[in-house]
Amino acid sequence: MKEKILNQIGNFNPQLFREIKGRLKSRNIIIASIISLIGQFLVFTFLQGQLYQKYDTFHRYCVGTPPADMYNDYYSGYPLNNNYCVRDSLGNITHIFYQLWWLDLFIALSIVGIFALLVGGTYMLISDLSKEENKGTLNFIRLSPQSAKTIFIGKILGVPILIYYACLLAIPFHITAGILAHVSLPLIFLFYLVTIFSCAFFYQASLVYGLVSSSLMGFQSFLGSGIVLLFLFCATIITMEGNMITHNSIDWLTLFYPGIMLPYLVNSTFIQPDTVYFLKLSNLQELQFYGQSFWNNLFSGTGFMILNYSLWTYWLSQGLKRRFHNPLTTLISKTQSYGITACFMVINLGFILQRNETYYVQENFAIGLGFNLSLFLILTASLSPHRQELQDWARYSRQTSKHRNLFRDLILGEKSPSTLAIALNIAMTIVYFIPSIFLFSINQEDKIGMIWGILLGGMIALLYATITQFMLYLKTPKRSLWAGITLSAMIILPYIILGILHLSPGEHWLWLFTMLPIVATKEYLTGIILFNFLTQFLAIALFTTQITKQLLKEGESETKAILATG
Amino acid sequence: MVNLIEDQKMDRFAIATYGLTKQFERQIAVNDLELQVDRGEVYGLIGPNGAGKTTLIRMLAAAEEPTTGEIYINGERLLRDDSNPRLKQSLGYLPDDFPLYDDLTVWDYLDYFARLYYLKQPKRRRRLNEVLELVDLTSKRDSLIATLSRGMKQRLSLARTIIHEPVLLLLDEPVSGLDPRARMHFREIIKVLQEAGMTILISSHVLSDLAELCTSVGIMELGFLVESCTLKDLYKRLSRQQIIISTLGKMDDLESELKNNSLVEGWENLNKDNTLKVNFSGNPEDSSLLLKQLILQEIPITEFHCKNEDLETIFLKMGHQQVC
Repeated sequence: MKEKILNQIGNFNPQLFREIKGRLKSRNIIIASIISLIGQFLVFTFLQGQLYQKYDTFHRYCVGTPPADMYNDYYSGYPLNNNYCVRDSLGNITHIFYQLWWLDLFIALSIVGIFALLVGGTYMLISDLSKEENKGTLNFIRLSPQSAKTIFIGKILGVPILIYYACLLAIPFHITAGILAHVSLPLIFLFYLVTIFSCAFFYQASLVYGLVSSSLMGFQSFLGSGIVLLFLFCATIITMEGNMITHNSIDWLTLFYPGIMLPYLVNSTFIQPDTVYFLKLSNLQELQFYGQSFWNNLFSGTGFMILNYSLWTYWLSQGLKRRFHNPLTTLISKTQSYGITACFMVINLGFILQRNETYYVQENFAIGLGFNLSLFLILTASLSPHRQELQDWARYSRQTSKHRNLFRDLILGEKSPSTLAIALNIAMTIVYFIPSIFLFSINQEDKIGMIWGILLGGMIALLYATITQFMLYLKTPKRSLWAGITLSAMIILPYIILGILHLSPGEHWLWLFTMLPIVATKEYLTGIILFNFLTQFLAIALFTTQITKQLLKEGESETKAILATG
Repeated sequence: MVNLIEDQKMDRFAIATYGLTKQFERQIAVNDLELQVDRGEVYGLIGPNGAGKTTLIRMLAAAEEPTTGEIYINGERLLRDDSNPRLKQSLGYLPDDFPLYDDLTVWDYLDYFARLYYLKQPKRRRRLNEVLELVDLTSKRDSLIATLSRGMKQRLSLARTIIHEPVLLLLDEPVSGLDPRARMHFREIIKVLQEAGMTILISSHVLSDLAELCTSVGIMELGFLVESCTLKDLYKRLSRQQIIISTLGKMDDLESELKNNSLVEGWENLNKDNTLKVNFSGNPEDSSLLLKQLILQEIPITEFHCKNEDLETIFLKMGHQQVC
């Protein structure tokens, strides 16, 4: 029977078959079962300990009303509601709010599950893929006629299979806790669905990361899963505290946290939000996208999350497909970069436009532009060909295409330098962002300051991209590392200098050279800003000229060689 | 029409490359290489280290992207993307290192690759048994790969390479690091595969192995293919006939008689007692006359046999000549 099922799995996906064969062994299954059961037991025991704290007068799970004279001489820290612990003559608490206790247990299990799935899963996938890449076994899979999609679906379903198994073992307990807490059963399944989509997104991201970072030799799995852990940790804290909505682009990040579904589940229990204290739905309902409150409605809110996950999972899968078939190519093509930027800017602006007050508008745009800059840095890293590819392009592209159009090649071609394509991506964002400033009733000077901020922000992003492309053409073997160090220094150093000198945005023009000049542009005269603009333009021109010269030299020397041999 | 003729021409070859070049920085590893290998041939690729053999094989296996140039496998253009699963199905590639999965058993490993290449039951089981028998690993089918010896791992890698019955097999230094017995076993396997009709391109430093296996050879040097022809042609053009002659008598007598024969070009005293290696330009009838002449002169001959210069000698003798 077991063999028959395995055989069918193998026919459906050979990679999944291989992972199951390698991992689903009796010893591993026993260990995973023990870990899962111990985990469930620990969560249960911890919360049960909370239930029987005998010495508290007021307690979260008590539902008694305190005696009237108690208000005068006792301050409990709890709201003076029904949290008084009524006890019998033996000291046992007589009325316990078990529904709330089961809800707490349900939420605790949900969060532990999210952490286990996303942190454990990303660690295993990154570690597995980078191991295969370093050892060379991935090359044999590459050479097989299977598609990248089949292989990576197999990896995603198979590599963390023991974690899936451990989580599946916890599901009966989780559902029981949910039912006893009166959480709507369909909502529990909807939560599982959102978690599956979040796994697809995080796992695709870790596979991409595993493929591009195999040179980090074993450290990358800790780094990658560490980043996921940090993200989940922060997202859990802000979600639990009820500050999940910040009314700017950060809300978009929060939507990548599957636990953001939990307020809907808590709400379905009909327990008073003040009694539950955390995961308040009212907070999530404040979130707006282009002024629309999608999160007022469970289905539109969840639908948005699923679409968001699906969209970015799709783009990640495109990068994965490219990189799988050719490990030396850029992660994405130039054409794909325009699609990614279009999706990114449309979503980002939707979350920026949540506040109308002048101060918040500026703050939201600054944060939104910070997000844009992150995108451009990621695009620069994913789109910039390295030295070998650039040399090949300079030397041989004329042979491969007789009617070569340089402009078209720089905008759409493979292996060509990325600078013009990045410039086009930045220009798209600027063109999309600037008109939105006129939607706000803020004064003219602030508007002009913000427009300059957006333009200068674009310019500095282009400068970073140009320098990165320049660094990636260096002869040194560690060119990626040097590019990273240079870029980090360019981003961090101005802030360190300004911090040491205690200079606020209005006090020194160096602020205009930081990664977010928008915080300072309204403080300076147009002349100074223009000067800054020109300086950056000249720097970009200088680096572009340098790289063009070197590429022309490569092309010429090759032409000479061809003529000589001819 | 011209295209059709070109297509038909390319279709004839198992491998055809045009202007194939791979450049790393300033170094050209493979330079404007034009290689044609007929179907069913065993093509040996020889050359010193750094000549570009591994890079060429990697490009032919789609494991490396050419800087420029085109590769056709059985008349179909080979590209490094997901557009040619059918072509990948017809290729088998064994690199000089052979990473394996230590956590799988021999059977599971081959089963996994058979599935990657879409082999269905019952053919898959039959094929697995066939290749295990061919590489002599049937007794190890349930052993973990981690427990196998180097030679066994090499044979398992070969089994993985041929599991899907590729029509073109690319073997890069397949016998390096193997002991003489394992090498002999490997040669036997290659012969069986050749008989099964596979086209095999094999690179090796063990030229005696290649001489035994190959129908054609290519010699690479500094990224260029300096020689590419059938082994027969190569011997015909570059291999001199040699005669090994031993005597019980005086060497001076033998040498003076040899001087009298105009077809003798020179000789070399071998380290054995009273034995000479004679370079001889005549045909078999001429060598027979030489033997007769020596006997008539009452020289006590104990050994007289003709042989051709071996591949290794030809290779070393060639130096930098570009012959074909």
